[in-house]
Amino acid sequence: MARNKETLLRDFHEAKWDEPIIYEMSTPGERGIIPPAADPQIVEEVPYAEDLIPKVLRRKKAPDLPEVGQMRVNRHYMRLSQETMGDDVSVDIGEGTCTMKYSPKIQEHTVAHNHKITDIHPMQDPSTMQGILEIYHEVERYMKSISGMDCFCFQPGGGAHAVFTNASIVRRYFRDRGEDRNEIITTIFSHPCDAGSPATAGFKVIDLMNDPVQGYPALEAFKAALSERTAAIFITNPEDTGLFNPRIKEYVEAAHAVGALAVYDQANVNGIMGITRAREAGFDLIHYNLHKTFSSPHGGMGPGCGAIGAKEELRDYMPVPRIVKNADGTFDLDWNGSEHTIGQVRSFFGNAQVVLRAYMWLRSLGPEGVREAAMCAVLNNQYMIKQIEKIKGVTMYYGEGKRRIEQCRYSWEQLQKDTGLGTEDVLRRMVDYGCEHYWESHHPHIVPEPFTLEPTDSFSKNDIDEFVAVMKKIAEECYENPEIVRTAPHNAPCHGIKNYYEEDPEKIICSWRQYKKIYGED
Amino acid sequence: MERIKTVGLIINPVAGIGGPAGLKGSDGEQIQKIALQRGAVRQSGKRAETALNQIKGCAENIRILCAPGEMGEEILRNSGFSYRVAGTTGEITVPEDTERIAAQMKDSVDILLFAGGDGTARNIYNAVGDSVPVIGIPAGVKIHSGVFAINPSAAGKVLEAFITASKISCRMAEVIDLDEEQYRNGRIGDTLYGYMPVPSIGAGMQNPKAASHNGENDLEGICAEIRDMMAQQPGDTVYIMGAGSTVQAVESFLGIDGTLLGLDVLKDGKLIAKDVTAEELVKITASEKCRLVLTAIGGQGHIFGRGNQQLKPDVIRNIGIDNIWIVAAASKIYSLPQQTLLVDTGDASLDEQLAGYHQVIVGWQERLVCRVM
Repeated sequence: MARNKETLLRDFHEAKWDEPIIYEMSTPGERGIIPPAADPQIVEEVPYAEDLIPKVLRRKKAPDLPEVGQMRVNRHYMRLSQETMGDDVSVDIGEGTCTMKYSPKIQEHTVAHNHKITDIHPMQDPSTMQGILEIYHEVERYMKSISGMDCFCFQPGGGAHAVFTNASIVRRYFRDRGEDRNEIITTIFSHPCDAGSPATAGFKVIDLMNDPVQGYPALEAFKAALSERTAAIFITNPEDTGLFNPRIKEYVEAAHAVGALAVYDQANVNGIMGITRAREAGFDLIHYNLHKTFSSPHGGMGPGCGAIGAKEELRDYMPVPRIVKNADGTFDLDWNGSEHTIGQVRSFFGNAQVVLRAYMWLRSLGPEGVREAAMCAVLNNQYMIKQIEKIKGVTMYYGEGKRRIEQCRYSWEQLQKDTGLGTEDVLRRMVDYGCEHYWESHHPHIVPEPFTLEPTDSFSKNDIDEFVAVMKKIAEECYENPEIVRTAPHNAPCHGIKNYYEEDPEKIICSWRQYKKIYGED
Repeated sequence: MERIKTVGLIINPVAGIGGPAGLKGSDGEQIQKIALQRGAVRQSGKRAETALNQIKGCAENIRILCAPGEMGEEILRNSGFSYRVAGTTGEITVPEDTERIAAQMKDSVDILLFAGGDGTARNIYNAVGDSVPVIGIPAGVKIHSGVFAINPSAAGKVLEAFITASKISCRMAEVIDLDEEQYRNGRIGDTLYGYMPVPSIGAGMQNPKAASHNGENDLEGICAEIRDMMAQQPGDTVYIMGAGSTVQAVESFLGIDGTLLGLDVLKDGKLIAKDVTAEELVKITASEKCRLVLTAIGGQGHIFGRGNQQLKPDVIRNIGIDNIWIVAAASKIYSLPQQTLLVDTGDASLDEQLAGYHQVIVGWQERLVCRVM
C-alpha cells in the first residue's frame, strides 16, 4: 500500500472476497475436532451422557450447526478478518473521545500467553495469587497519585458501568444519611452515560445546555438547577468539544454548598493526567477508563475496566471485595467491607488483564512519562486543529479562540450547505483512502454535521499529516466531484451503505434461522 | 417488495423573489410585480430540481403527479421521471392555484413535495390539513415552519428515504406564517396555523439536527412525567393547557379531548373550559391556584407571545412564574437557535422576570436547563 510522497494519499483497496456465511460452507459429516473416546471407566459409569439431561429438556432434532473442517474454518475467518479495518491496519485518529492510542504488543503477549497470568483463577486462595493482588495494589497506588483520590476499585467492566457504580454509591450515601435527594445534574456535552447511568440507578436527570460563547454551561445555569433535591453532579471535563472548564472548582463548590456530591467522569483523562488532579478541583468520586487512557485496547465491547476512585469519606461505600495489604506485607481480599458498602458490582474483582496492561504501561512510562504523554496528546491536537481548520467546509463550534485540550468536535455544516454532502458522506468515503473511519459525535448532534478527532499521544506528525490529507481530499471532492463521494465507498467490500437508523428494521437479519425463513430455504 | 410510490409536486414559482429585492416576503401580486421590476429572478424551480436530483437513483420506484407549467411540469419535462399533470392554472399563478391543486392531489399521492415559503406551506395546509405527509423545499423568504427541510438536497434525501423504506414514521411539524404587512412595518406577529405530518428521518428536516432516537423524542415520557407531577399537586389545582401538539398529546394521554391551537382548562382530571379567551383566563387565574403547561414553538423557541397571545401579562402574573411547566421534546430544544427559549409577552418588565434559566421537561424524570431571553 504505497503512499504518494506529495499528496500523502494511499492507493488503497480493502480486501474483498465473496465470502459465504459459514452455514453455507457446511458439509454434512465434516468435523472440525474429533474428541478422544471416553475412558472405559467413564463409559462404565455413564454409558450415555445424554441420559444426564432430563428427557423434557432434550432436543428432538440436532441443533443446526455448520459442519466444517478445521482448515476451512481457519481460512474462512482469516479472509473475513482481512476484509476488516482496525487500528493495526490504518491511522485511527478519527475515533475522538475514545483515545485510540497504541497499546504496546508486549502487553498483549503477556496477558494472553504468560502462564503466570493465564493459569490463575479468581477462586484460588488469595495466598496463591499474591502477584496479581500486588499488581492491583500497585495500580491503585499509581491511580491515587494521578488523581489525588484516597482509594480505588477496579471492578466495573467499563465506563458506563463505573458511572453506574458511582451513582449507586451516591444513592447509598444519602440513604444512609437519611436524606431524600433524587436529582442529578449533568451537562449536554458530558458523556451520555453521565445522564443514562444515574437514570438507571433511579435518579431524575437534569441536563444543562451549553453557553454558546464559552462552550460549557454557564455557572448561573448550573446554580439555577441546584437545590436541596440535588444528590450529585456528574460531569466530564474537558467535555466532548475538547474545551476545558477552567472554573470547574466553582461548580464543584456550588454543588457542595447545597449538600450534593461531585462526581467526575474522567473516562478520557489523556490530555490532563499528570497536569491537573480531581482532588484539587474538589471532586468526591471519579472514574478512569483503563481501556482508553491507560493503554488497554478497546472496541468490540471489551474487555474494559472503569476504575472508580473516592475520597476518604466515601471509602466505606466502595464495592467489595477490597484488596487489602496485611501488616506482614501480604495481600488479601476483604469480601465483607463496611456496613455501608454497595456490595459487588461484577463477578470476582473485575477484568484482571486490563489492570495488568495498565500496570505495564504505567511502569514503562513512570510519573514523568505519564505527564509527557498528556503533553504530547495536547500538542498533537493543537497541530491537527491548525491543519483541519484550513480545510474548506470545516467549522469549529463554541469557544472561539479557545484552546482545545486533547480532542476537538468539528462540523461539516458549511460543506453541507455548499454541496449537500455532510458528515456521513465524508465518513463513507474515508475507507477508499485506507482510513478506517471517524467518530461523528455522541447524541444529541447539537453541533450539526459533526466529527470528532483525537490524535492522542501515539501518532506522529507524519500520521497526522496523512489523516489531514485524506480529509482535505474528500472535502475537495465534495465540491468538485460530489458524485464520487455520494456513491462511496468504492474500494471496500461493501458499497452504498446507508445509515442504520434509516434502514428498515424488518430487513435486518440476525440469525441463520431467520435468514432461511426469509429466503424460504427451510 | 418495494411498492411504487406517488409523489405530488407543487412549486410556488414566485416564492422567494421578494427577499433579495428587500421586500421581506413575496405575498401579493403587487409585491411580486415590484420584485420582478427590481430584477428578481425566479429560483424555486431550480431548488426543486436540486431536490429531485437526489432521488434519480430510485426513479423507477416513483410516479410524480405535478402541478402544470412552472408550478412543476416544466422541470420534469426532460428529467427522466415518469409524471402526470394535475389541474390547470391561469397565466399568472396565484395562491388559490396551490390550494386547489393540492386538494386535487390529496387522495392520489403518498407524499406531497412542495417548494416555497411559509405562505406556500400555509396554502398546502389549508388544502390538505394533516391528511398526507409533506416535505417542504425551502425556497421562500420566510422559513419558520417545521415542515421544511434544511436545504433542497436534504429535502431530496428525506424523500429518498421515504421512498425506499417500506415503513416510515411521521411526526407533526408546525405550519407558521407571519403577517407580511406587519413584518414590513417592522413588527413580528407570526401565528401557528397548524401541523402537518413530515417523515421522521433524523437529520434533514428543519428542526431536528439530532438523529432520531427515542430519548430525543420522548413524548410518552413527557406525558408520564406530567401525570406524576399532577399527582403531587393538591386536588383543587387548576391546569391551563397551552397550544401545540406536545401539550395536546399530554391532554390526550390524560383522556382529555383538548384543542390543538387554543388553550384549555382542566380541574379534577376533567376539561372545564375549552379554547378559552384572555378574559376568561384573567378571571380563572385570579381566583384559582393554577399550573400552566406549555411548550415552545419549534424552530424559533417562543414560549410566550406566539400562538398563545391569550396568555396576557396579567394572566402570567396571576399564575406565577414558578408554576409554569414547560414541556418539549429534547430534539425540539436542540434545534432552536442557540438552544434558547424566547418570551415576548408585550410587557418588558415581565419579560425580564421570565428571563434566566428554566427547566424544560423532556421526558420522564428528565429535564433540560435552557436559557430564556
